[in-house]
Amino acid sequence: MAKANIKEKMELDSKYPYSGKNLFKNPEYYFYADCSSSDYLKNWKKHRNKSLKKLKQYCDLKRSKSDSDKITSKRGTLTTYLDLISQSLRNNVLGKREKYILLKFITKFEVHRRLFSYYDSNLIRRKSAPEAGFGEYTYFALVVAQCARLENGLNYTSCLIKLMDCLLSIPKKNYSYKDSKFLIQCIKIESELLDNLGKGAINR
Amino acid sequence: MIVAPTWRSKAYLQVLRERGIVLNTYMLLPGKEPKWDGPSLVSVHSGGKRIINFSPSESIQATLEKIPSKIVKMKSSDIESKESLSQIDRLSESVIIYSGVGGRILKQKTLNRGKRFLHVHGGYAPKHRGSTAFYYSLLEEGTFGITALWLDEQLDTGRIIARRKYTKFPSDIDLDRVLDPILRADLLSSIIQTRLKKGKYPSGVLRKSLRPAYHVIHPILKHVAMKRYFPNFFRV
Repeated sequence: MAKANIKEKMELDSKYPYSGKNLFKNPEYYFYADCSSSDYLKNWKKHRNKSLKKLKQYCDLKRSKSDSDKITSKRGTLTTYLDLISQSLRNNVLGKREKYILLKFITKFEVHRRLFSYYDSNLIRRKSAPEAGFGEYTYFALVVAQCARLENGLNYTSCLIKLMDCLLSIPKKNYSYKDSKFLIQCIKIESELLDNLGKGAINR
Repeated sequence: MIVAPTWRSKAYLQVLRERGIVLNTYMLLPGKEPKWDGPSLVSVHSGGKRIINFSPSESIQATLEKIPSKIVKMKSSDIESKESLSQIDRLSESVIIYSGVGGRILKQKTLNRGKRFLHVHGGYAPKHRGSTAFYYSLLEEGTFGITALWLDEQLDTGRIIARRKYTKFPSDIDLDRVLDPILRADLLSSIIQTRLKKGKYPSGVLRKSLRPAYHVIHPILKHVAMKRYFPNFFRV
């Protein structure tokens, strides 16, 4: 088992500086990050493509024992708030309240690199709330990705890439079928956003 | 001026000195200065206009030795410690130029001491407020915004004194360590010159609405911005 983990880690290790260590355990804040290598973007793309390939294989393996696609949520959970935003996005809009909620969670993630499972109506973490699980983080990433695509705003895109750095940094054994599916979608949206940025398309 | 050992402080001191602006007091925060590994002199210009030949390797102490001002060594590196606040209280000046450690929001107890803190932000506020905001404005508009404002209890939300958009830079310049600090210093010196000529600070811009603050940009986006506007900066 340990050998398999090392192999997986080695395989994912690349020249992309944010691979190879668990970023949930070792949070990265990207202050004065050095990105002056001319291969930087190429290395990032390689890292994401490798992850995508692995996730697809993983999805095929897990398909038979797949968990339900539907996320069950209770009132006051992070998932309920994400559901609210997701519903709005289904109509291709991001309502004022939904945007407010999303920006609050983005700020929490950007500042503390952590989210929790329960928040009160003022979006303040409930004292007894445990840290969000991997499934909640992947759902959050998907919502951020969909907002980034809809609004084409760089603050969403930047947060999404950081989230993906974190989510792809943990051992794959933690991924469920649903998580893998969400992550595949996120990587595709992330890549699309970067391609558009290269073409100069940005919302001001 | 409160001087932390940063690139920004180096830029402020060198630009002000070159333009003959002498402040009453410099308050030095203890700490190690960052090390420079590039050329000893960097020519900074924008829009065809020369700003300065910046010497990033020159120490803060070396620049201060050329300036006939009072220098106070602060006892603590934390500007809001009891010792630092009592040193600030002893200043006779009512305006303090803040060149402390970046990204810090000063507490009410510091802001309510009868002094105003002038901060120069790397971004065109209020649209581009928050951390590394200039990278976002480069990607969105192709400009590098700088805003001088009075510090308040939130991030880059204080009353704006003056702001400026810069364009067209040397294609091989270091953004974080040279261009950003020097452009801030350029705007700062203009404001002080106005204050010296007219006896008051520019009246500023009224904030209409507050947009969400930006967070530290992901290096991939930073890389894209640099590739677009500073293509000769990269190492192969």
